[in-house]
Amino acid sequence: MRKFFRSYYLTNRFYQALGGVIALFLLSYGIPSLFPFAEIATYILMVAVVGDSLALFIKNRLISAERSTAEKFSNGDENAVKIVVESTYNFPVHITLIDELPEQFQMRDQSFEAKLEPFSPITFNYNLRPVKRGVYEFGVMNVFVSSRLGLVQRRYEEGKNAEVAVYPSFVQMRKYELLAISNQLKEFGIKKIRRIGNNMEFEQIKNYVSGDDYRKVNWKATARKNHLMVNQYQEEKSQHVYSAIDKGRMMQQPFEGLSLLDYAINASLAISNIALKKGDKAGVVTFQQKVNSVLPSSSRNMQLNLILEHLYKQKTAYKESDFGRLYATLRRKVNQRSLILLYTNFESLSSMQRQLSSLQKIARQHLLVCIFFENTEVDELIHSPAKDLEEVYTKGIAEQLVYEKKLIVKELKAHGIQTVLTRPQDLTVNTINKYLELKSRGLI
Amino acid sequence: MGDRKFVIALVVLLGIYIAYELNKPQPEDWSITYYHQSTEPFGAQALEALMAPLFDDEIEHVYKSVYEIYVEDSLDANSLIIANAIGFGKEDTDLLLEQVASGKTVFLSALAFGGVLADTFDLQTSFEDPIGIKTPEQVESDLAGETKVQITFNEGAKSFLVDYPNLGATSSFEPKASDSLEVLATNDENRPVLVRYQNNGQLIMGTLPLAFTNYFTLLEETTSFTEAQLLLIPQDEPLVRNQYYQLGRLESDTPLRVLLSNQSLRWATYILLVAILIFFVFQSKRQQRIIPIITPLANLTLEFVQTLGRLYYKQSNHNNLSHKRVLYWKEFVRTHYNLNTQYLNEDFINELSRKSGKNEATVASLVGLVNTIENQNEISDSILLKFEKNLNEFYGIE
Repeated sequence: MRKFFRSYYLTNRFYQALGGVIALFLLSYGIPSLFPFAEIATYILMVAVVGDSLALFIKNRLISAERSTAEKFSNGDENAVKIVVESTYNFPVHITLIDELPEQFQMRDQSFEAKLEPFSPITFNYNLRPVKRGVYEFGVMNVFVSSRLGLVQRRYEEGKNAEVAVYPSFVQMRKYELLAISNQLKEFGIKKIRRIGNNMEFEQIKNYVSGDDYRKVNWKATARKNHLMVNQYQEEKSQHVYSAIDKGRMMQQPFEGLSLLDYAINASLAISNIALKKGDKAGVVTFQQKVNSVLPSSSRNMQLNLILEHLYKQKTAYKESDFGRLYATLRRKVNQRSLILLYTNFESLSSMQRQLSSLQKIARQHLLVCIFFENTEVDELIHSPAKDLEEVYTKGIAEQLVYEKKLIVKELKAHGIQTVLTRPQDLTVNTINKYLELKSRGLI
Repeated sequence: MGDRKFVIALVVLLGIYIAYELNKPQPEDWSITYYHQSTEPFGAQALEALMAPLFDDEIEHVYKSVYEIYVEDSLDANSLIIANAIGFGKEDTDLLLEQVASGKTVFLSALAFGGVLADTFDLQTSFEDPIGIKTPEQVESDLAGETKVQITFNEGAKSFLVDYPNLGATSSFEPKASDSLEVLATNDENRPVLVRYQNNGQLIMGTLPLAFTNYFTLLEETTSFTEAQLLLIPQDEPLVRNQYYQLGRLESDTPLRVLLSNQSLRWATYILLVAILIFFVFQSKRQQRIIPIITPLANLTLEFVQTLGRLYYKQSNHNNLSHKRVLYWKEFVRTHYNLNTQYLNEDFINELSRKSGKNEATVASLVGLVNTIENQNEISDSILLKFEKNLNEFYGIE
């Protein structure tokens, strides 16, 4: 009985019908000859409700629904979910499907409607974009079935709770991998990527294109071909690439729902993948008030999986980050000269200067790239006219904020530290570009 | 588990409290109701018992106005009205007198008479309602007190004296009542307390309505007076006791009365109420599981910038701010147009206007302003606003 009540719902149409009956009775106050019709309408409605209920409830388990998702979701990307619903009622039914989404999405109004013919399943497709790593829990699928009369609804709770793990963006990783290997990143990025290496292992002679180092021109070949030809050398391999991820206070800021930390994690996954593909060794270091984890660089087959799992597990309390400790750990654990991609964020020149000594010390031993973020939130403010003096002031301060970031870049450059200043959304592309650029310039 | 224990304890406590309230001795209710089912001292259940053997027909009780009884329900019976105060208007008075003329008996008993009815017979009541203002304890002690009023009943052959407790006979008519009235009873000041007007039927008016209450009906000394009053009404004719003037419209006194009185509207109302109930029961059910609220991370940069902006605005150091903006502008020119911003001269203006595609006057005016800002110590509001305007033009902001 309780189960019956739990699954018994009434539709809007039922209430509309009741309203109609009430209106008929009200009308019959003025036109008494309508009264019998109103009475008959009431009984018809009662009979219809009972009949509709019987049709829907007399047999059990006539609706089945199944949800299929990927085992892992990719953070910050659209992930597909598919639900197949099938009816074995012997008449066409109308269904409303409410999928119980993981609470992280905070979506309470998602529902699908469809007409369902007997024995012909229907598929619903929708996408979810998680912005946090971790375990996500789907609930049941609520299927509300009504007949053509549509006065009563029966609720089926199909499927079981299912868990999906949201991992750092492996979708982006694959996407950029292909682009980087096929040398198409310039379509996305700002700089033109030159892939020729700088070391002296000869590979081939090729046509000169603008941007090639003219010291490498092969004059003999040029003379023979009547074209400028250059020597191309093999890239250096097995270099160490470390992604050092700051998990401190400054990385909590969200852009488009995703925190800077997750942007950094997504980017370091993509860059590690490319580094591995290029024959380099990738590793990960994370830190906040102390160094939390070190995954030594390696080019083993399973390294990418290790990195993925390693990044997936990252938790943080967003404490104040200590760059001194990062330096000490790198000094102890990373003995070869490496490319250190340091993902962090500085809002002002002074906050950078506080860390400068540690950064300099790291840069002395390794090739340090300091990656930090433009604050796109103030873009709109800067690009709209100010109406009064107070707004002029606000705008001036916003400009100052943007200007300081550029000062930070200059200051770091002056101390021989490479920088990437990027919009959070372009982080991965810009980081990969920087990596490829540094590699081709042979700076590691 | 702890929750369940708490609920059980609460229910038990509530049960004990209800039992206590139910069994607690009820204080005597001394309010005057004349209600035929009330056993309180001033209710009138005893009157029922007294009347039952006297009258041939069963007494009917109604709760309607005189107009409703005679015009809408066209009642054909004698009537008895007991109330604290009676004040009929013209229509009601006419109706009553019509009834009397047609041979009916109308018995009115009230502490005070007023309105057109009283005027017709030139009746004035000296009226006191001591019970209304006294505390229950005072009423009780007064009733037990020694002071008595002597009532003389005198109708035809029947005549006797009754000692009435003071409290029960506080009201009386002025003696100079009109000639058409026959005095049936007086108090010891010789003022009438019961009068009769005869015209085919009879209209009897008394000022001792408390005589019909349980207390005085059952009090040994006074019960004879109550009975004598009742015997004035013909016993072989049907009698209707109308309690409207003391209690009002007892049964159907609800705002829905109009709706419920018509069949169509009654159906509509009931269906509406049922619909609302169904709506509450069924629409309150969940359609999916509860999703707890998680507040998403907020990017507070804008608030931060606005607060800082306000802070700077409070200090209003135009010089400082305009220098900041000049720096930003110079940086913009250097990175976007690759120009040296050290010397802002004629050549620079030409080059910048050529590279940016803005017309030369705009650029010249902007560069002029920049020079002003860099060389002046005091920057006015108007310069700052003009600078903003020129910058917008230069950046192409609209």
